[in-house]
Amino acid sequence: MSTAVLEHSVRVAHHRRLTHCPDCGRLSYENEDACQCGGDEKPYPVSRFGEIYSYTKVHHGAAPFVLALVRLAGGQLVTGRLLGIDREPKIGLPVELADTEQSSSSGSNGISFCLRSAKAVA
Amino acid sequence: MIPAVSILGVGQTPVANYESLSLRSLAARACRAAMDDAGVEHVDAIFVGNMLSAELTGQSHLGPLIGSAISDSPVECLTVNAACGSGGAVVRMASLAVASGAYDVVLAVGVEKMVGRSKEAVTAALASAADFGREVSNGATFAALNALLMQRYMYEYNAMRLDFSVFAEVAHQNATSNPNARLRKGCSLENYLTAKMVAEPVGLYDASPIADGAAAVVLGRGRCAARSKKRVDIVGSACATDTLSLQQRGDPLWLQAVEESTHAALDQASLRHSDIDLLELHDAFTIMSALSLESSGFAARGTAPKFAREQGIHRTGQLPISTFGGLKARGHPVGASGTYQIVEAALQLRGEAGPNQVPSASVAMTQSIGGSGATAVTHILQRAN
Repeated sequence: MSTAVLEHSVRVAHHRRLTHCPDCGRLSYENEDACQCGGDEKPYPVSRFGEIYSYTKVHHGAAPFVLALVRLAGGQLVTGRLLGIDREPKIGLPVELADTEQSSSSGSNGISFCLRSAKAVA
Repeated sequence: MIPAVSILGVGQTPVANYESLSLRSLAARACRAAMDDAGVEHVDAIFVGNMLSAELTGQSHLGPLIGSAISDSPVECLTVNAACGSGGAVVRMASLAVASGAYDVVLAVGVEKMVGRSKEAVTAALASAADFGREVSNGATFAALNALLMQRYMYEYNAMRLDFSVFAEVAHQNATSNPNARLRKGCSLENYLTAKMVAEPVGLYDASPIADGAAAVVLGRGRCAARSKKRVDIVGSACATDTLSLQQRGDPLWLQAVEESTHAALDQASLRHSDIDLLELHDAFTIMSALSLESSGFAARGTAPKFAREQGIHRTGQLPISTFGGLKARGHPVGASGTYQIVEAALQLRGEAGPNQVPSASVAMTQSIGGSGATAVTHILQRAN
């Protein structure tokens, strides 16, 4: 994903509320009354911001990618891909949710994050 | 569990690539070997441990498939699936069936055929045992999930990759003298450090190899057990679970199911950690060896690699582990690995481990794990005589 496209994705994500389903754990951008898993509890809003709890560069498969566990500002741990990496990922680096096609796909928790710039964090 | 269940016989096939042998034949070989070893011609029930047969060979419903190869009578025969912990879980289910009084003599067999399918197909099938919604849908595989744990472990405890090499080195060394092992070659520190990366920091020598294989045990009680000269008693058996995904855990570096099942099994046996002479642990990845040693209570948090290096996990060390090569080098036919552990531990306690013998072994612990610590099955075995 190009940096320009990623920046656009992040801007789009800014205007959409992220919710977390307590039953299946799925994160969603949609302001839904119920999660598609059919769980009884209503998804609750969570922060789009967090920091890297752990990460790995995955080499097997067709194309290498970075998978991360992100600790959201509210304390939840979330698994997601790290996109648009312009520097070496490190534990503790700030990230924010990226609104990508993969993230928006239904039927999965396909969630992606991107590294935040030092300027944005400041 | 009442301590009245004994292992009367054990059998195993070499862990290898069996292109021209069906899953049924593979299981039958291990079963017949175990029945011959036990000196029994009939069993009352058969339990089959398996994880991936449906996904990789298109065959499920293994009970009748394998039961009819072993027994002429219509005995109860069911499959037990606890992902990579299936091999331990099947022995637990069989031992509960015996302990309940329902049966006198029961066969438990773990079997898996993995070789021959594409790497992508096997990786995807294995990943089905992780949390689909939370993990797999984001591209997570078991190598990647273990890499997340290892990276965090290195960060929290200021550890380095090379600290983990001891687990691979010892397992490979032990496999060199095990004729049933898949990787009968040593692993040096240089081998470990220069191997290609699978999912950083997990390299090739941090991961166990997939394989085909079958292992079986005959369990019994009462007069059958009393007659057996090779008897090994199951004095503790416990299973515990944790959340399927890592992200749901308060502390991903602590395997709660491992802690729970270890303590429950030791309590049943009225034994302590210091009584364990050898441990067959679930070394599917080197980080799992470290986390298992710590969560089981054999090493303090963050110290397992140091414990392994300084106290010794080799056959004459303080706590010998993976004495026939473990999952790491004997090989990891996933649904069978836990049964191999119990077969190997029984051979150790019978004094029949040959060049792999742990001196004066009288109590052994085995631990089979499904997922990234989501299911843990722990057994304590004790020499009867």
